[in-house]
Amino acid sequence: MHPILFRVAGTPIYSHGFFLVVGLLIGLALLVVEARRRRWPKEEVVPITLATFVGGMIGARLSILFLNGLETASTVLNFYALFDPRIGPGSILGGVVGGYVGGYIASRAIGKKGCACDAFAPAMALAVAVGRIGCFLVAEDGLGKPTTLPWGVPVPGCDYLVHPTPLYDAAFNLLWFGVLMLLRDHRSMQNGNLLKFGLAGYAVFRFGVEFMRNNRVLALGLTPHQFVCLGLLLALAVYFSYQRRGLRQSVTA
Amino acid sequence: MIVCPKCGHENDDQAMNCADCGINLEWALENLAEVAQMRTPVAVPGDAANEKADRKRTQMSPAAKRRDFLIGFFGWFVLNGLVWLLVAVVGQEGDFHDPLNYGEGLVNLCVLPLNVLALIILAFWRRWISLGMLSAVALNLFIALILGLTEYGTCAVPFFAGLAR
Repeated sequence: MHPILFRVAGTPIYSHGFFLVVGLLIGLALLVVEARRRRWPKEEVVPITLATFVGGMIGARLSILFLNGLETASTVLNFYALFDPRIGPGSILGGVVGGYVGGYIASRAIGKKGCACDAFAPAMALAVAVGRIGCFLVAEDGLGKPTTLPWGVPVPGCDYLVHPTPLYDAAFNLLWFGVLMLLRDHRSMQNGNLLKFGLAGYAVFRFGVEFMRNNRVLALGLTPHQFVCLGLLLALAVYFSYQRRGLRQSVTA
Repeated sequence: MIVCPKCGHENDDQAMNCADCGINLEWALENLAEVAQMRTPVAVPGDAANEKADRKRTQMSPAAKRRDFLIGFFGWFVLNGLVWLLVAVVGQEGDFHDPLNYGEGLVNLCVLPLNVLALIILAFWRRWISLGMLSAVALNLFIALILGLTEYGTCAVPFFAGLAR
């Protein structure tokens, strides 16, 4: 594993932080391009993006409390610890939920009608794909469970091979980025549907890949991450069924 | 020629998205009710709520917006700095040099919800102050991410395991 990616004048640049920043910057650049393509005015892009970023960072940190246990409370609930570079941001699942809530509140506050959040969907997938390379290089969470598959990788301190789950995540998100780019102009993927479809796809994937990760089991043989995925899928199913019902009613009317 | 139901722009017959507002034309033409909701409401004479919102929007000068933004931006640093001094230096709560011992005092743990609450309330009441605060938080988070390049801080389980190395 390569926790230190390179050195600049003797100062180590760590893989995790490096790919996190690069992923965020690539995601931001793609968001700007996509927002311009959609003629999204900057008076709306700036506050919604800022709120999504801040909401995402707070959500990611707060989710640690649920995902990793109450013993993390003193650090997780402390506002000043949010700006401590010695602590990683937290879970992407919490970041997604927090970012969505932040962006939604900002949209309502500026009086935006409809949802332009679809511009976030491909950007988010690409950012996660890049960020996961850092997780792999530092062998975060011990990467995954033991495997005899040919692509299993060694981790320090273990005499067996394990699933490289961050690479599965990166590969899926890269593929998902392509799918979302292809679907971005589809007529059924407008007004927020592309983002919700993107989230649903990631939730399904993450639910499956959790069986190969080392996260603690909360109940029923499932990890806290899997419960978050199920909650997310349930919320999206309710949203899409309401939307479909509304569409059917408008057609019959 | 396809007339955009959202903004009225005249597009080519082959256009997928409106060249002016960017909306997907096929979807927009099939969902006219939803598109109507997206249009900025036109102030109807006598409609008090619309008139008030319109007045508020047009009355705020660029100078006032800048003033509110700066109040939010620097006010966030001053207020949170004062609370930090009160809690960490005067109250001796926790140890900010030790990330595993930030302190579990009530005042310390109230700062995050109070910040979030203030951001949400101000977003609907004084939008530019809220935007200033939001920018201050985002700037600090960005600085933390940049400084994180030189720190071995991962999100591992336990997420601070890397600190011990």
